[in-house]
Amino acid sequence: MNVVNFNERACEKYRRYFDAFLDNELLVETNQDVLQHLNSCTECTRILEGRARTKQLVRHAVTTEQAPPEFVAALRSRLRTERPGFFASNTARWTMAAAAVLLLAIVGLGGLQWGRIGPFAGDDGVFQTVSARVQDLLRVGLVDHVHCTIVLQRWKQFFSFEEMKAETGPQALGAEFIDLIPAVEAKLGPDYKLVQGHRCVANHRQYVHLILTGKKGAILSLVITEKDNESFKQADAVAVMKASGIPIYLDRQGILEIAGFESDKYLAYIVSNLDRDANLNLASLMAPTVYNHLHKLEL
Amino acid sequence: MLFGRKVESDAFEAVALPHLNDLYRTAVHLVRDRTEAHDLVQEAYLQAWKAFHRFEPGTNCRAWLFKILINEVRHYRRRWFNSKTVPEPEQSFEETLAFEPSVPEDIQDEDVLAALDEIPREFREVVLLSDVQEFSYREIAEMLSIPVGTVMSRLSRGRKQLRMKLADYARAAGVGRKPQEGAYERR
Repeated sequence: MNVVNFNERACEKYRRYFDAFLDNELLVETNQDVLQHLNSCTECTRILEGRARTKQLVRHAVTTEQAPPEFVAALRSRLRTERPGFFASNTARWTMAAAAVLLLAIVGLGGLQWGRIGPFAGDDGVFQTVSARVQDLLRVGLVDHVHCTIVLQRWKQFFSFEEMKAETGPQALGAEFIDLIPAVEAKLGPDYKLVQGHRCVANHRQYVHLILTGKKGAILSLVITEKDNESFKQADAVAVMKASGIPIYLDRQGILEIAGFESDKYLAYIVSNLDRDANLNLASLMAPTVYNHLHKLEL
Repeated sequence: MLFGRKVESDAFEAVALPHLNDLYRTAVHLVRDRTEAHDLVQEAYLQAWKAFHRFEPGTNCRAWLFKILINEVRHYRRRWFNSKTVPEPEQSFEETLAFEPSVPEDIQDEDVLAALDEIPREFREVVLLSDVQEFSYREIAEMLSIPVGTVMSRLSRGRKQLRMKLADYARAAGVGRKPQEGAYERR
């Protein structure tokens, strides 16, 4: 036999308050009304207890998880290398990054003994043919070089291969990319020194980043990032040259030369303060090795 | 100069790092991916550290950190899902039912987490901020830049969906349930 509850409408009204009642968000008077109703309604009391218990279950289940100790250690270490109050927001950060590039271009980097500075953007026909879409694609690699290598000055922080291999935090290259280090070193020879390789995030994009230095103050980055529906081919880019069949695209921003190439799933860049020929030469040396590495990951 | 920086660094760690686990747990369930959660929490802390000179001592550091994290998560979503505006989920059939199932007695934490991760993101967000982090409706409204009424509505609908899903889990317990699509593995 069904039991007809003549107070159903009253119950419905009070049940609408239950969430706010549990969260202590009701006015004192409404709180009192709910309490009075609960004293006389066993079904509403059951429902309220159930909701309170659900809340406890969720809280208990979620709070059992702790941040991994290696993540906490990596975060502490990262915080200690960052400069406080320098970049107040993303916008300011990128304005400052752009300003850093501009400043370096203006002062000619005499103090840092950067060498082999080539002509500025627009000086030759190749640059002028680069479309805006291709420039945007090439800047994806530039952003990380400026942010990580120049602004955070990571080109000064040397890590041995053993240290990078032993690294387990979020910045670790991991099994996927650690082998790139000896491969790149072997390709470039003794003229270039690998300073460090890591994973990083710039402008909310993830990168694999190898930093190298060379003679006469050369500083360069090999930057790799996963494609996000992007492609040089789709952007109708005109390759400047092919290295073992891999098209290479070029751009220059201020004093920085950028060479880009792609595999099916990745974009890769060589960014440096070298002149165009030297940067392109490095890109053509590294492209086949890097491409083969990325291609293996994609299989 | 270096000494001054060390003092500031110590102050930041003292007020901000005690909330790391809370931010981490929230990020894990907001994006349902631990690697992304690591990056987002790290980025939130870096942003907070860089803006620490603007933080007023004595104000709610935890709410400030959560607001930064929520913004990072929004940037992340826009980046990966290209969804600048997310429509409010339509009311499901289950939500229209007046019936309120009993809460299962012996439900496991992993079932609760799986149920939580299945409810729509807008609802999960407020459930996490209210039920787990115990922020007030007003604090949540400020963090998410939505009216308090929307917080209440999302919370009510989120909790209701959660109760329904918990009841489903309890009914299916021991029947050889398969892992849910999109759920992540627990370490």
